[in-house]
Amino acid sequence: MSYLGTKRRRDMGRQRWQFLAVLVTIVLGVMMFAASYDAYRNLETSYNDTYDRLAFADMTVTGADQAFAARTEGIAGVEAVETRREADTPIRVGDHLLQGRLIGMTPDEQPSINRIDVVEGTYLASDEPNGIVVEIHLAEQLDVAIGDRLDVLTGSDWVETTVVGIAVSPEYIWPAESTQNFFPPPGTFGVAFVSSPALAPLPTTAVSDQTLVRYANGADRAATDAAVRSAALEAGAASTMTRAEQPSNAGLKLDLQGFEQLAVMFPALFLLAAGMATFVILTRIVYAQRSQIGTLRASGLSRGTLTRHYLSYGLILGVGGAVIGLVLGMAMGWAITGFYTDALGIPDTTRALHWMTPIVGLVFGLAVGLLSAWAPTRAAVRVSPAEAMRGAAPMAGGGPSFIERVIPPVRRLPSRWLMVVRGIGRNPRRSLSTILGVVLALTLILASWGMIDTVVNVIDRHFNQVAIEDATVLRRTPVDAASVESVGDTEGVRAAEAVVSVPVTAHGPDGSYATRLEAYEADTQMHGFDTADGGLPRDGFVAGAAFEQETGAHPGDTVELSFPTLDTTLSATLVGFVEEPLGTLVYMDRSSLDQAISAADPPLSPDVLTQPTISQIATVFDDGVDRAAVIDRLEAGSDVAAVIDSRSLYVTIQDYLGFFYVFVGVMLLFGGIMAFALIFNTISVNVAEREGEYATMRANGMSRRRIAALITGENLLLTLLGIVPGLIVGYYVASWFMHSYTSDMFTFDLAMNPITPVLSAVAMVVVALLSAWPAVRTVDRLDLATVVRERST
Amino acid sequence: MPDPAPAVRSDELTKTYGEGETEVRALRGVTLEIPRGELAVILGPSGSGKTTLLNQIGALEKPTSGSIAAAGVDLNSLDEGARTDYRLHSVGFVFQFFNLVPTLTARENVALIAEMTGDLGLERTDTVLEQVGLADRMHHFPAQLSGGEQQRVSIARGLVKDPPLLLCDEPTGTLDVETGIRILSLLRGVTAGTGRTVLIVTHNSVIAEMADRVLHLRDGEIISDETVEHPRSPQELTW
Repeated sequence: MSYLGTKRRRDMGRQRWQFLAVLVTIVLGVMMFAASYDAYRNLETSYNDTYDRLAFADMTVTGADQAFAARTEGIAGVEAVETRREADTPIRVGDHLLQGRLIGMTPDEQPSINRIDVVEGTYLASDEPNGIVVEIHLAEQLDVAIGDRLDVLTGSDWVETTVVGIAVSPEYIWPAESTQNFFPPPGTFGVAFVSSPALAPLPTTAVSDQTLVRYANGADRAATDAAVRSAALEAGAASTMTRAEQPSNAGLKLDLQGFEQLAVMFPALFLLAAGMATFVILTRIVYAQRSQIGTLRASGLSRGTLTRHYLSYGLILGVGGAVIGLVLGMAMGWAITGFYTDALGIPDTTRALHWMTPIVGLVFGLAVGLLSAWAPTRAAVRVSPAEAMRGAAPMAGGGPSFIERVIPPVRRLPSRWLMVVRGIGRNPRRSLSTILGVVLALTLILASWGMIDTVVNVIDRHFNQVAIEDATVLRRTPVDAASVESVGDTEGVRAAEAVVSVPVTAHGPDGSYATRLEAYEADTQMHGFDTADGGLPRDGFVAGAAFEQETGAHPGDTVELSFPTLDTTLSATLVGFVEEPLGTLVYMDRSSLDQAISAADPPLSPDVLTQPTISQIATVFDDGVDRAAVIDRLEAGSDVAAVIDSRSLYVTIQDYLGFFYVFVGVMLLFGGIMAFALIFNTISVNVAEREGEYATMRANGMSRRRIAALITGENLLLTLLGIVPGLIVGYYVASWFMHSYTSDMFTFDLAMNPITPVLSAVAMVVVALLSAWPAVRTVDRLDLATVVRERST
Repeated sequence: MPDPAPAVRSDELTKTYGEGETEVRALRGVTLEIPRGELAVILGPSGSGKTTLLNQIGALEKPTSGSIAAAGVDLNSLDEGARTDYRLHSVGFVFQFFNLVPTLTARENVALIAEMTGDLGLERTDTVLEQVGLADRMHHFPAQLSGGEQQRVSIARGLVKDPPLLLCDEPTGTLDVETGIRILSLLRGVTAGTGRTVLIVTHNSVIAEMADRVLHLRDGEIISDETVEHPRSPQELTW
């Protein structure tokens, strides 16, 4: 090793804690990038592999005429077309009742589109007409095994089936019932695959005809989507759904989007912080070594050699941090991929080495190291040898601080506090780096914590202000006044109402949107509406806020609503929008719907709405009642097909809140480390630069405690200056971050708990105090006799 | 009238740094007595132990053995807090490098120390700055002051507490001759009629000519302790 190399090693050794703080920050940044980016790429590949292997449909059309399939085959870009039937009907597993979705399949032969991957047992066989294959989530949630009996409600009768297989479906990797019910409570919704003839006995109002379309490799997806959609509408289709709109896929893509954002935003914060910290420490080294630099230059060392020497500090930090971060991050990325694919039951787990990850990680590390070292290096090589050999740089000029100019009474503070106030302007760039460190850390913390707060708020609002019902009773027979009264009389039930829930496609000026229409009593106690009077309009309908973007319809417009399972269409006025966190539904007053359906094309009797596949009985329980006992009593009611515990998801989420806060805790830790690295480096450098001053004060009788108070005071002042913009920037980044997840499935308006910014600010103050502690210890240990005789550098 | 207690008294004072092969004996049994009100110069070549002796008197370091008392305080018996208190009330320091806080004006630099001694100290700030000839420069920041002016601020900082003992370590070391003489004049004036003792540590033998007493140190031992009958005026000195 050259002597300059030895010098560098010893320089770094002498300030090992400062360099270590920078290294850890770079490691965390690159690690987060590598973990998130690798997980993103691996998961995307895993999903796509599964989609390809199981021929996931590119377009699903519901309710088109019989000639549509044949016509679609001729559209450019279409590779295959397949038809099938699907029905929503209750299922019984032992004593447990749930809402089921039965998908008709040709026995003995997998379909060409939307195949299933039978992971246990066998596929459907024609010699076993009552055989059923259950989707893996249903099997896992209710412990369904091969050979188990499973009852399916066909009309008003339960039909016994035998489980022959357990399968993974590309349509239900995330088991969403629909875009509107993306989080069905566990055990309340399940998918099963049956032989097509098995769907024949089901009422027509429960069954949908579907056409699945798969595109050829390399097809122009947008153009093919448009052509197929246009053909579907011409063929009278009630709804069309592209692969991007398919609920499970849309949810997974949203999740991937989260990883993609994590791979960019959070690492950027860390690397910026690391860059600032490197800049601070190298600037200090160069400043302290002015006389050495001058001597070396006078002795003939070239500027190039000196440039390489000082840049190498940043290079070592950047490359070292990047390599460690990449190793840890890529391992984490692989682990996350395995965890996710395992948790979601995805059969294809692809964990490839993505060359872009190490390349980009190294480039990040190199860029941070070199860019942050560039300015100090330039300062080192530009200084004239004669001037540098004099040692001390010209003393910085003084002057009233910005704070004194803004708040003149501050000038009357005791000198020791003036020293604190002016200390922050002594090296503006260094102070700025501390402030920036606090801002970046708060941004990281608030973006993460705000996300959890928002999710908690969304869930809380959905279950306590919007979907107020405790349970929904599905019946085998039409829902009439007597059945509603009977449910309402059940012990523990405070109120019961009939609620219509039916698939609908709204046709607006900009497009069609498939969703569900729900109709409630005028004075409903089951659902909260944030309309002006808190209720539903007597005429027309309201819809979730995303409806406007999906259809282009505005309040006052007349919108066509077609019902694929009722095979009719009606026109109604869009009265306004409701802000709801989950899903984008259409709501009508029940009597208004009865009138509208009578005037529909073709007109239908309102009695059709009482059919058990359309009408349900929503209930609200008495306060403090034993929920399980009430649900048991409801299930025991006559003609009850299933009881959906509407709040089980809420209870499950409440149970798992602890895990959410572990995530917040990790982000607090990371944010704390980031802030610590910058504050610690700044304060260490400040103290090193002022050792002579502090030693002279100590020699003149100033106590250790008072000097500690001065150092801590300056540090806290800087931290407070960072906290104010940090909270503002953090809030807006969190808001943007949450808004990026908003779609027709979710509305995520940032809902930060008021205590969150307070606790985040307190965390920053604690970090500032911890960061100052080593510096205070340094001053405590100063060898006064030696330091007072040295020139400050 | 009995002679009042001397400003500084030490008996067989030793100070050793390091151990074994790296052991350095900076002071080897120094016994001395400096009366109050004198300007004493401790003279010696580099490494003779003169700064170590000053540090002992200023309670910046603890002795290895022997006893030392200054300004009527037995320094051997003091714990860390009491040593800080001693430095606050009993001694003022002037160092070769001024170590002023660059963000505070001359007045604020002096007030920084004065504040610790209470309101009386604060009132003295302007008086002391006037004494050192900086009345019209007191609102300037260190970067706006010359080297001599900065050293005068540091003398004012040492004097503002009205200490009985002022300890100066190479106070003219970084100054040109003319400025150095001005500083020495100031230090000479500090003793006049105040009963205050000034101790100057230097390797510049010329400065000894203005002292009331000169102690020569070599290899950690006092090799001579002379009383100067007719000290020269600082203005007469040159080097």
